Amino acid sequence: MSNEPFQNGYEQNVSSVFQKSVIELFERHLKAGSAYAPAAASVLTEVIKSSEEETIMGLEVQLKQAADAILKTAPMTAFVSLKASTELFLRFVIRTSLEFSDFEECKRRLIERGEYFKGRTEASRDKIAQVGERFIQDGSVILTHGNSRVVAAVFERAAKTKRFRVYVTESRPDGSGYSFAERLLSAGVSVTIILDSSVGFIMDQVDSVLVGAEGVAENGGIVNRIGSLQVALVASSYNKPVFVAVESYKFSRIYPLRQRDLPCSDKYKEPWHPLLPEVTVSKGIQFENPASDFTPPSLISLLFTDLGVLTPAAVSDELIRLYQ
Amino acid sequence: MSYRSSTSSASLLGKETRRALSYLQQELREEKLSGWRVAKETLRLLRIVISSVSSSGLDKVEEAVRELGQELTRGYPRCFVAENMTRRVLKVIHEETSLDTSDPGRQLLGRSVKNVKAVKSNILEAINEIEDELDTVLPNITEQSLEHIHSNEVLLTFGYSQSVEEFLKSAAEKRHFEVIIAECELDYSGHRLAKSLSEENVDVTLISDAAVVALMSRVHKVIIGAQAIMADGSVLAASGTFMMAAAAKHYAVPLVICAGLHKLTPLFPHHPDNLYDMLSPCQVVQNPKVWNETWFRQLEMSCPRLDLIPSPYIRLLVTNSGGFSPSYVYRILNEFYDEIDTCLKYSS
Repeated sequence: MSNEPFQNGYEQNVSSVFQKSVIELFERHLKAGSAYAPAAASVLTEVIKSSEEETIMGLEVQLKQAADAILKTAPMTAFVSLKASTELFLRFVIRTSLEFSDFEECKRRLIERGEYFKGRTEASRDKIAQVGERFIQDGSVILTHGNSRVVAAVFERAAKTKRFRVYVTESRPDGSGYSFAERLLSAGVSVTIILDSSVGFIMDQVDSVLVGAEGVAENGGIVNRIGSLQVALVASSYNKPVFVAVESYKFSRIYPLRQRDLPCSDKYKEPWHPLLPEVTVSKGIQFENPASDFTPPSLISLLFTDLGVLTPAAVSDELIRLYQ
Repeated sequence: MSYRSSTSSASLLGKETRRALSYLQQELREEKLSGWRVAKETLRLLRIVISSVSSSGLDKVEEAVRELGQELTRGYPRCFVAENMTRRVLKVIHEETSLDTSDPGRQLLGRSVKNVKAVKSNILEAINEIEDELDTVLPNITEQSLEHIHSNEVLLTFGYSQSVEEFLKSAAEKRHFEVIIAECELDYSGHRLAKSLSEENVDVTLISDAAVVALMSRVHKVIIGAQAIMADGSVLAASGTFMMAAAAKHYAVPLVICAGLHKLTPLFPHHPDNLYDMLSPCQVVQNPKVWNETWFRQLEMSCPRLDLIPSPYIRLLVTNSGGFSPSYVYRILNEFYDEIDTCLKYSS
């Protein structure tokens, strides 16, 4: 954390040095295996701890700078959940400042809350695994898409007492399905990898679909790895339930009406990597490379969260409670 | 607290309780009681359990209630109403024990005897309130009947349900309508409803279950009862009702479920052990002459007791708290039950 004095004339330089150290700390947390939003919460708590500001306004400005830095470096897939959790954290700062007139007391309370939030988010994966494994029965066949650590936790927990099969999609363009499949195999789950385009073919053999989410919209729909909408549409036409395992800090106040309403990365028009080997593309050919898509709540059966099992209709109630 | 089986000698249910419990289970097996009656009997049983547990500690009370809930879960056929009442009482116990302490983090153990008696009487009073609420279930459901049944409508119903019977009778006092009753081939309970309604001068037509789809296009509404309302708004009802729900969806006929909220359970219908309650195959083939034939013995027959109607098929749930859509069920769940009681096992 930057310990340099806050000088008026050098505000620009200081803030960029400050932001650099924020980013460094954030990446350190991620390397240690933390998920994005808990890492952001830890970093913001650290900022409060080591801040030399003497006023709430100054602290808020610093936290806003730190949050901006985090959002700039974070990958597109984490954008929705990071924006939601940093916003929630900042709102909480403002609210606490109204409660406590003494600055030191307020600061202490914020640090305490930050630690509590960090602890809760780390435990949420276990709670979700506990809740979600009850929906996996012996002998069932489950399809998954994307590389969610929460979903992996659910499967790992269920694999301790039940035998079931999982179909994992390749999840192009990054092909993360392979590492996900390896993880499941080492947990003792019977795993089959399929192409993203084979989902329609395989769907009638599947009992249910389980995916994670990068963010949950206000109406209970989810933002997830590109391809999730397709999987959900096929599942719905075959009457298979679609389950989503997601932590509650990913609940966000977004309300996308169309796919284009999601935040767009700068690399949207660039080809993905890896392109198929030995393929060269002429200049005139254009690319569109969305990272995520939005699955509407009508296609989702249930959400497994650390707040319990929710129907999509119940998400907005929980959001209101979170933001109050 | 470690998991203990209920057959251990340290069981908290006394002889009197066990006798009452086995009597209730026998009545359930013979299916003589309506859901409402089951709720009342279970509450009576819970009152006995709570009063009879020694006053050494409140944790014993909760344990005893959980043990009773466990026994009721294992009853056959599975009665959700009995479990629900147990869960409601558990929620009351949680509320009372946390209100009693000034420090919410205090453990249940190490409590003074005087407090135990006070908390116990509070719990028993809360059970009385639940029972009073049960008494208002039928009146509250029937007073909504005029909102949903209009003159010269053709209604379709399935088998016998006490809520539906009262609902239709109450509307029949003011309006004139026609009711088509599918007889429910499992137990021919439709006949009972037909007799009861025709005594009130309602136009009744009794049909076989197979004719439901053929007549659906001429029906204005389908009104049925339920055995249980699940946590996602889907409903467990008599075997044969899903066929009716599918036909209703096809013809865009609204499906209305009349059920009291004592039937609302916090379970989700994705676990097969909630649903596959099978009856004896002798109800499928009722001619006793074939039962000893060798060819008969080689047949595999399944006779499920209940059908699951998923929430997209249901238009409205008419309950004692008013009418609402199945997607609203989660709100009421939080009011009635605590999440940790969903699984009625021993817990620390």
